[in-house]
Amino acid sequence: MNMESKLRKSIKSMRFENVSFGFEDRGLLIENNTVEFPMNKNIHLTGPAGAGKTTVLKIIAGLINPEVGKFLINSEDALPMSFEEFLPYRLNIGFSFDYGGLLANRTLFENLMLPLRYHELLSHTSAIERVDQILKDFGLTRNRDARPSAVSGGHRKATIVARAFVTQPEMIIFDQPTTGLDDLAEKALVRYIKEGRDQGWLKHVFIVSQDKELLSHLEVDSFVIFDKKVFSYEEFEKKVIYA
Amino acid sequence: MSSPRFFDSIPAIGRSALGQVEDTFKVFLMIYLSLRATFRDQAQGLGTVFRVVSAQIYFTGFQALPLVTVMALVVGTLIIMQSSAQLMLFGGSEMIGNLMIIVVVRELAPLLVAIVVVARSGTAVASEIGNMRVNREIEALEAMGIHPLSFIVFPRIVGGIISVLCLAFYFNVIALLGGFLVSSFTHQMNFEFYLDSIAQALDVHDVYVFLLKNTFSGAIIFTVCSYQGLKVQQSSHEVPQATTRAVVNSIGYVMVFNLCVTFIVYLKQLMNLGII
Repeated sequence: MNMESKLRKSIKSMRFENVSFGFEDRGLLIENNTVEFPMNKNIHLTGPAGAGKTTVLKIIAGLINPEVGKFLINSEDALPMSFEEFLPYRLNIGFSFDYGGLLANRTLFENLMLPLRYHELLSHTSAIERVDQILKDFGLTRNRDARPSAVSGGHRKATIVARAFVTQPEMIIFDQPTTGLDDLAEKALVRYIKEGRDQGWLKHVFIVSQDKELLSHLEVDSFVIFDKKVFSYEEFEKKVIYA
Repeated sequence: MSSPRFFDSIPAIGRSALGQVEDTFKVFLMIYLSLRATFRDQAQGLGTVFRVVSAQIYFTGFQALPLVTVMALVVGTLIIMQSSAQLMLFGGSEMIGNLMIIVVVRELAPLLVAIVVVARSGTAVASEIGNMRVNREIEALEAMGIHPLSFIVFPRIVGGIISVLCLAFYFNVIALLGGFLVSSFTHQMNFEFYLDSIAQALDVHDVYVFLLKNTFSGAIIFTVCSYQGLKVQQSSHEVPQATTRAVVNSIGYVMVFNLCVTFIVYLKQLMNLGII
């Protein structure tokens, strides 16, 4: 068993139970939600702007904690967990931010190396090989040793997307992954999702995107965030559209 | 008749005082949490901590040497010139060592070094961490399973403490010796007599006071500045505000702490003399 699998816990199920969350200045974004997310799927979260799609993604990634309710992973409530207790799950979750998120004082290469070397998931040589390959696939080799502020917005975005793949996590969460991406990087994104599934390391994908072309390449199960609730698309049809 | 405005301002004063108490409590909490995170973080190797600590020592300690050198020379020269003239007038020139130890080693070095470190590095740390918040770098670290308190805050506190201790030691050496050498051009004083006077005046309590004041100054400055940086929420216009708060609060805390240590030492001296 290598270090990658030793540190990580597999994610078998994920469920919100009566979850509510809001920001002080914006009120509740989601209220009293109970929803079971299907596993081994590409889940597409959709809804009007400002409905709370990013918030739901961040709850799933353990980056924000709802004040009310339970967030069950493998039937364990993740909300009372300390950073260290949640870490084995977190190491199996890759997160691609909609903007920001690259360490400004590190090069693109170092940004991708950081999670691999910090957790010693791979040896130094293997980590370099993997990172260089990902940089090449996403068209970033030319800017390998540049800092984020020195490259174009498209390359920054591509680096954020590429970093989500670098540890080969079981779950990847993408928040608007194709905004600003060029064709090469967008194709690499789709290819990495498909190859991750084929190779068996990638199981669950959560994606927020309005990019119809990207979604057409992935078989997605849609969830809709509407009126502070998270619905599966079938539920949304029954309870909202045809109600 | 009292102005009603005075009474109106009482709740605001109360809220401000409570805010300060809350901030102080949170600063202590952050020290605890960063220590806890560092020792519980099995992934963070010593190499990672060492890299950040050494970078912090380079920026805070090494790069501050020119400024501290000038400051120490000026302070040492001024005190020696002023005091030796006065002491010789009253025939108490052998007290110059005592005076230098009391004024420079115990009081001025910890305060002036703290002010230099706050101005150069405290502001840098607060604004760097504030910008990291705005650019979602802190969130990204968490998403990668890297605890921001053990990765960012703890090494800066350790690097800050080491830098402040080294700078304060350097300040003392330059102020005591360099100051004498500079003033010896304009003043007639025997160097051996001066060194002997310093050696006679130094005792083990001065070492304790030196370690206590400077260790805590370093810890206070870098914890308060990191805390203020982490308080930034969403917008870059909060960063300069956080930096200003970091400077004001850390200088305030350091001064109060130094005053408390001096007061305790002074009380102990009074007790030793049998006055209280």
